Amino acid sequence: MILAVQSLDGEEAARDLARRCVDGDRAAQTRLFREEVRRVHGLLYRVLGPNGPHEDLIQETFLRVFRSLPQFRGESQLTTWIGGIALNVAYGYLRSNPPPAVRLELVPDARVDESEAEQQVAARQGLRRVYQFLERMDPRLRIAFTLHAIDGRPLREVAELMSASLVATKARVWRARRELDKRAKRDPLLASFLGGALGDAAEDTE
Amino acid sequence: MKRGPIPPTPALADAAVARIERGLFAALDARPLAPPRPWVSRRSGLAFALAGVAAAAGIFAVREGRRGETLPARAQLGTAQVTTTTSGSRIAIGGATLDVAPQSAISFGGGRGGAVVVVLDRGTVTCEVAPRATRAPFIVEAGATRVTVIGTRFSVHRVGGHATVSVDHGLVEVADTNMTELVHAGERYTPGEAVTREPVASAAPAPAAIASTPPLGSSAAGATAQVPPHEDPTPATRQRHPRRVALADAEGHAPASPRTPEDGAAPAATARSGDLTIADRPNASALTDAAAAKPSPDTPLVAPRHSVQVLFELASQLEIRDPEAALRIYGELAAGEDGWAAIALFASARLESERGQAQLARELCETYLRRFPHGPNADDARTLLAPAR
Repeated sequence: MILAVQSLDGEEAARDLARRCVDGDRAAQTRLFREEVRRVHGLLYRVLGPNGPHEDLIQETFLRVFRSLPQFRGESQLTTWIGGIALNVAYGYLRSNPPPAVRLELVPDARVDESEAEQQVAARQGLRRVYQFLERMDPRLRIAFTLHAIDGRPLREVAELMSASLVATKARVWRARRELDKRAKRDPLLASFLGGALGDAAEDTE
Repeated sequence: MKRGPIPPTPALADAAVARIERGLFAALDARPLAPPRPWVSRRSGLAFALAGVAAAAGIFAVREGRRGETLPARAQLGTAQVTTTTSGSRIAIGGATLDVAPQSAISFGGGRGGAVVVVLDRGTVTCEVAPRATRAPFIVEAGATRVTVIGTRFSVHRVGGHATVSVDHGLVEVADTNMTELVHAGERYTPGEAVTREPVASAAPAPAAIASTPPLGSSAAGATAQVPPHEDPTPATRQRHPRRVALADAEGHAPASPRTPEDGAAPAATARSGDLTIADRPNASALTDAAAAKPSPDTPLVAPRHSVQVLFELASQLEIRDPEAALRIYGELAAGEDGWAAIALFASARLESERGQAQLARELCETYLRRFPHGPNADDARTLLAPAR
């Protein structure tokens, strides 16, 4: 997924749309919402996993977007700015809510090639472990890790989204990987499921 | 980097989009967007509100010449305005001592997140602020210039819509139109210019020594450039503040015991009243000694965990812009005994290594392994030591 896609026909168009939203133009607000809602959903889903109250958080994100638009100065792309607000909403949610038990049936199927039922089950269990692990992780580490390691965004983009420095972002991803590594050593299922990823993580932290 | 196993993101159903849209616009209709107003108007509104709520308390304090006294709790929790005429005034609030120069006006009150916000409407205010590790932020606004305090003594002089900022101790972050600068001890920020060293200010003592610093004006750090207008810069005149208020503390913390600069080298010794002070960077041996030292049992050392984490994150962010400051913070955290001490100690070793300070990095790694032989970065410390050996 690429976050920085400027689907709003360039920066000037985005600023114009933002201005009209601020002026209370409902058509502009609707357009902005529909343009961005799926991107915001994807972002929240990556960070929160399958069990978060996504619809509520999407709504909260857009409420904040519309209320904060008067402060949008066009210093970053509108989509990136909205992404930052979505991450703030996700961060607030993670900080104020205890980790829920991950329900197996809500974890989507992993992309495994093998069609055998046993491996499918093992993959689902492995994904369940991943989400359990993420629930216990510090929200900042979790957000940085999910955006970079799972969603594949460049560190620089993650840093911009999180309003953090590149070094801080790198450190967060690094620490998250260490926690993941540590846990996988005690969890054979997780280790086998993430075998490839752990190898990559070890390379990246050098 | 190769990706790990990626859980698929299910598409958001059209029905869900419609549900969210209905809920969103219903909420917007229930509470329409406020019409945009220029920033200056908001600030003026804030200043007006600050003035309106508790102006009487502030003005009364000024007229009575009550210098060096903590304002009533009601004023601290609410808002107040102080306007000075021919003589200055000293007030204490929220862990800070404010010296308001003659012909100056300030408003202060609570901001978001419990922050103490001081708005300088005109003139000069000199602030001595206790480290903010466990306290709410302390912010001074003067026109478009915004100063966020980490723990320091500094002066803000308003010039039109902006302000100059001179820092005696510690570190502040100055935000002005389209820029943000870190201003260190002995430096001066002037709008539109690069941050410059103060010509007079010498190496500032560590904040731990603040409590033993002589009264305002008699300190060597009282550079001419920081003397407010309308005030004679000679020490004799400035010593008309005979009674020094110890860092007034809304939480009721006692001020730090007097210390001399000589014994303030160890970061562990700079912690006080539950705060972590960002001290001037100690030399290498002091850092490793402090990291290895056991704190005395009666020394409150470790701030609440979340504050420590905030400090750690701050240090991480400072690594590129200001590695010296990052190392100071890591040094402070490393003096603790909790999990963050181990992480911070290794972080300082890593950072020193990245800066090419192999010997320092080696000493820090050895200290780490002595203190935390099974710590989370023990293997990393051994790896870092390996080439040196």
